[in-house]
Amino acid sequence: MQVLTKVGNPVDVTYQAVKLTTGLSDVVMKIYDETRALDGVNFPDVTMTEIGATGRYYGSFTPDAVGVWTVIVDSATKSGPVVQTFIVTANDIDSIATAIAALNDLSAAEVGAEVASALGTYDVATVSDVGSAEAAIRGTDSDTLKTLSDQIDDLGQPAMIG
Amino acid sequence: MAKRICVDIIIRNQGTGHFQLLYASRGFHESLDVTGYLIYPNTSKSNTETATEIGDGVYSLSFPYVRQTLEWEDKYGIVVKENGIVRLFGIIRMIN
Repeated sequence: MQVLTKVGNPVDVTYQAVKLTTGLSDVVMKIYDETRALDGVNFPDVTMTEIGATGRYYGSFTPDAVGVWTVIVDSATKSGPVVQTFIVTANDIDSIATAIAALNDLSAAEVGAEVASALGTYDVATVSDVGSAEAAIRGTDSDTLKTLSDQIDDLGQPAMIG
Repeated sequence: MAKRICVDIIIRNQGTGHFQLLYASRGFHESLDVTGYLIYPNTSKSNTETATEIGDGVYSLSFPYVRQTLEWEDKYGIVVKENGIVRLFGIIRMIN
């Protein structure tokens, strides 16, 4: 069985002894890290503790790297080895939920400030800027393009008298 | 863009007291309110006269003639408007 867990979080491992044998003191959990190697210094063998007098035993370890970890549990006097695999990831559901919740903590004022900053960076023309540009195009007599068009049309036939 | 057309017209005084001018509007636009007035040699202005449209954007204007000087030639100014907007200024030289 594969179990998904987050790096840095303690992992509980449970073991059911052969024929639910109780009172065993040599149920040992061997921990193989993400490199599939035993790390006797950082992850020494763990002697598991019986849960009451149920013939079930527990122990724990805390993986310190992302990857696939393997645990082998057995008892020297009542052998019945069990292998369990843990997929250790950078995030679990809880940490993802926390990250999602943090996405919505911007206030309207903060959004407005960001937008204003972006507009400043891109030097967007304001209504006043556009008005000034239009006034410069129109010139002192403020002729519209329609007026200019009519005047150009009239150049073909100016007023005459005689 | 304001454009003023200045023309020079020579009219021989035939002693009738009126002279008639034909005016073609800009672009031969029809149904315009064409008006005009004279500027006499002493810089006074005549009454404003309303033109009669002949057709195809051509209008007729009639002005009373009043001799102002004893010179053999008098200069008059003429201003013509279309719908109240000045469209033409001209000089009329009246040969007496």
